[in-house]
Amino acid sequence: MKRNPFYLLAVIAAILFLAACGRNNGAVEVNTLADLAESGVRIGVQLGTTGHDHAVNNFPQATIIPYDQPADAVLALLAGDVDALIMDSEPARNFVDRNAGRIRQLDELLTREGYGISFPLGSPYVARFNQALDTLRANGTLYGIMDYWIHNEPNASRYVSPPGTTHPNGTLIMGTSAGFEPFEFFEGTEIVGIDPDLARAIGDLLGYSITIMDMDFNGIIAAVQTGQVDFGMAGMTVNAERRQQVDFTQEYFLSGQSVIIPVR
Amino acid sequence: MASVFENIADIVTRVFITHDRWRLWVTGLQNTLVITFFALLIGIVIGFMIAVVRVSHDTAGKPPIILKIPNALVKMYVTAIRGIPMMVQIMIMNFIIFAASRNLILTAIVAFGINSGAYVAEVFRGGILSVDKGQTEAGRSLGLSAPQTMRRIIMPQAIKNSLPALGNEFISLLKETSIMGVIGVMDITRAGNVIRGLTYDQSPLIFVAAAYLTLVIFLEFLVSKMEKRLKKSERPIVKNIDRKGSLFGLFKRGGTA
Repeated sequence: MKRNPFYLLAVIAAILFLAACGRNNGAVEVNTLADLAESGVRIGVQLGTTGHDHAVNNFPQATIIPYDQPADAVLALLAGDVDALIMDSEPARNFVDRNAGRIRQLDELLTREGYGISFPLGSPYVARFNQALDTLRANGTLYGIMDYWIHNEPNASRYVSPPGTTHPNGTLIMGTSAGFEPFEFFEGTEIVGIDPDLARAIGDLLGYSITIMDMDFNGIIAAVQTGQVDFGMAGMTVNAERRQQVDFTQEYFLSGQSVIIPVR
Repeated sequence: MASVFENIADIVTRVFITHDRWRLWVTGLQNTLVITFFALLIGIVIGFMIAVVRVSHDTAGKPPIILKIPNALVKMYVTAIRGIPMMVQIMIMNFIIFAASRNLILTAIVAFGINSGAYVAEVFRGGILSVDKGQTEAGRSLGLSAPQTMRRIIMPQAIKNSLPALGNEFISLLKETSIMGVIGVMDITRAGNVIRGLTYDQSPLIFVAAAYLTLVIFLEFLVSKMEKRLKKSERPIVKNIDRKGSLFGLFKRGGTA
């Protein structure tokens, strides 16, 4: 056999390949919230969410792995690339239902949070949207939307514009990040869910038609600030940090961060 | 891997039929093709202008200042485009330069067009330089001025020489556009990713790969047909009677011819 430099290269490549294959030996079993404090635990989160912030601030000993889309985090959990996920409780419940038997949610929530609709700082729309939300709460539309998407009430239905509704005031563009069932997700080419329904309900009250623009969750606040979208509605938690960048309406949904683990 | 070998009917239903998901694929295909096509057009325009500047500068004995400045600018532009990854370019275009724009498709076309221009410039430069110097000499000796020689003799041949490489650039651009999902444009790859997220099934990836593969094979077929037609206008090649079925005599037994 000739002394060939490529032979050495092939041997090195083979060794690296075999080393990469043995990657699943860092698994930490997570069964309770306390297990998240184990050193070396791998926690999956969605990039830029409050779940991400919570993980970074409270579990410094863990390896935090952010994913652009929550579904990618779920796929990672199913594949064993992470030990647990921290995600908003409603979408988490949705992911668990869709993967029945393979993953489950812990009962306790890590945090309590509320979702708000974001506008550029000082926007006059905030007050108007707040009034619309009050009206929708009073006339039952808001609960109807939640009944359909969250509680799956058999008698509830998706929001439909009342007959004779007009939109004389123009169009507002909503920035969102589809992939967060039941708040916003793709059905065919349309984005449906709680946020589109609620936005359309508010729009109908105020005389605006709503166009939805899909983007990275992480980019929604910047899009609101630059005016690329008129408002952001994406199951986005209201917190002090975000309040410095944008103005929020009142909270329209109360949620919390929950933990998803694989079923063993 | 098990999910890929499930019942094919189940997979096709999940990936295409449920909730009319095939519409997502159609939108993806439309966006990919439209953006690639218009980006290539922009790239050709930019690339041609760059090539003319570069060749004029390099072939002039003592380039005047009116060529020196554009040449320097153009070299910086090409260096920047070739030095920054395409994904970073499109993110900068969307989040910084066109931060307020609502037309993501236009942003993508501009980003890919500007990127393509740098590479097409090299294609045209090579095409122009590959035209035999004798053509220029013949043109001048027939009494045509330098711009006339350029326009009527060199350029047509240069463009003809560049066409196969342009076809290849089209194919490269088509595959490069697969990253545009990162700014939210619904292309083939993003359609596949959205459906992957909805179904927890990796099989959409296979369909995404198949879509690009089909498009590329078709484009390569067109490019090779174009090359054959172009060759018809050249001098016929005298057949090498020594070949006897081996590759230019390379694999002949008993020594070379």
